Amino acid sequence: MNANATPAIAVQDVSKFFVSADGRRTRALDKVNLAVERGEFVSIIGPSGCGKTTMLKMVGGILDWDEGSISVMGAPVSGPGPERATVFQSFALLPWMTVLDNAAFGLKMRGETKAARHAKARNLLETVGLADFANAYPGELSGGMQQRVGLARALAVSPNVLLMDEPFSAIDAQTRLILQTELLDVWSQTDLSVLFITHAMDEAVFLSDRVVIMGARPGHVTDVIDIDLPRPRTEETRRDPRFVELTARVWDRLRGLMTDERAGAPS
Amino acid sequence: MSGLLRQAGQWLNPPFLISLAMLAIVWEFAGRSADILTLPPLSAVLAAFVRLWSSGVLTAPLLDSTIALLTGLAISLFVGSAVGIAIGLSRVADVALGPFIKAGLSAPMIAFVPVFMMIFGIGSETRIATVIAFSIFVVATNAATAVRSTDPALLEMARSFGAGRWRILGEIRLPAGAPYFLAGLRLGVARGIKGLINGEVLIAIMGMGGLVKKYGTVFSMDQLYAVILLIVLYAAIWVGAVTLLGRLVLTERRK
Repeated sequence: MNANATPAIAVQDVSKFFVSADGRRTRALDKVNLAVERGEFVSIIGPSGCGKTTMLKMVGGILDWDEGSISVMGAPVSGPGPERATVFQSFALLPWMTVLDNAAFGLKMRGETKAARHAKARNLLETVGLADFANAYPGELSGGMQQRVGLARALAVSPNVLLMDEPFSAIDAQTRLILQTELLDVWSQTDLSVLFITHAMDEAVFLSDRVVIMGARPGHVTDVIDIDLPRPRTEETRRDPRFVELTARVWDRLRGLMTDERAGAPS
Repeated sequence: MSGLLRQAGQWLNPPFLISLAMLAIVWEFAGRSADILTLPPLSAVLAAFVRLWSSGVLTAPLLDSTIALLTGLAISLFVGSAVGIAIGLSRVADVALGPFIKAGLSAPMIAFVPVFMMIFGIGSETRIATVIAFSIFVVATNAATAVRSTDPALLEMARSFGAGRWRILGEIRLPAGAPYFLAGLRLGVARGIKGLINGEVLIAIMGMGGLVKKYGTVFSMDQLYAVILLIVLYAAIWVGAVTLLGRLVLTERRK
């Protein structure tokens, strides 16, 4: 981590309004501030409706905001860019393409030749343990394997910033634990900065350097919790009393938001 | 190949063969017993079919009709798909053209044949126009649905990797919509054949529809039924072939 460099992601006083069908303007995000340093792994967690996925889409450049500024690697965001890649909750694989072509899709959009993109995609399929499935179709793979393809596709474009939108939430609990460890393995061999959206507290704590907690109505950052667990994190980490303590702290904050929400909800 | 055999097997199953045999028996006896001028026995119809087929009387109209059908369908597919894609992608095109497509889909197109005859005369252009009128709207409707019904998650994914509007059309919307395009093709072929025969019967001097008119006018019932049989088989074979093609394409690309 280079302290002098600009952050990988800098979100400053960002607000977003949604206009409902009857013309009313509702504040969806209220002056959100967020920074992900270079090489850092940051998770956002919060109740549904807190705008965490909205936040990720704005950083990804596929959704506009109304006030404030967002920059990635020091440059203002004005759309999708080659320094960012996203891993999606629904995997978003193309069912008519082979695993190899899916992994190479981002490179194809960047205009790389077939030989070059296939070579890179093969490399990354190897990294995520799917080298033997290059010619299979997504429909033949389990959810966990499909998301490995999604990760390979994102990594193939050599991004600086990896945006992950609840990537493991559609995957069974056991496989999810394995994927978390694999993700950290891959990340530790790169200088990637990661912004990770989740609703699983143990996942946020296990993966992250910092956990950002967001509240709803309107979406805002309520807490940032530093996760001082040593790296590399392994299965032992999950039994570390400190891990349990930090997870409990995240839950305390979240539970506060949930009760606030219930008390403040219009009846 | 196994797909072809399975497809053929659907038609050779016992319940279908039994109902086919019963229809044939009822037809044969009804045609023999009653002295009905309008219903010759099946054996006479089949004999007429074999006679017409081997004499070569059917060959020229069959080829002639097929060329007109394929010409009309090609135009329908090309123009209908282009219009449908525009409607599916653009709100303005949808508002401007959508109502015509909806009207054309339900309107009885046969009413236009006399108009086509006035415009194009008694010639092949008239029945090509009829084929187009019958098939183009269903092709356009399905093309619009094809590009409109794409999974939003796939669109978002492509955009996040920097794909623009046209790239997304070519890489995501068109391949994702393939089942709808194929459904449009299948319905377009079926309707196009209806249009073809409708047009030819009204024009009265060309193709298989012309034979219907010719034998019908002189009450040559066995030959009339033989031509009708040919038309039914012709339509069934076309639609079956397109259905099969669609299945092969779809299973090839998503195991």
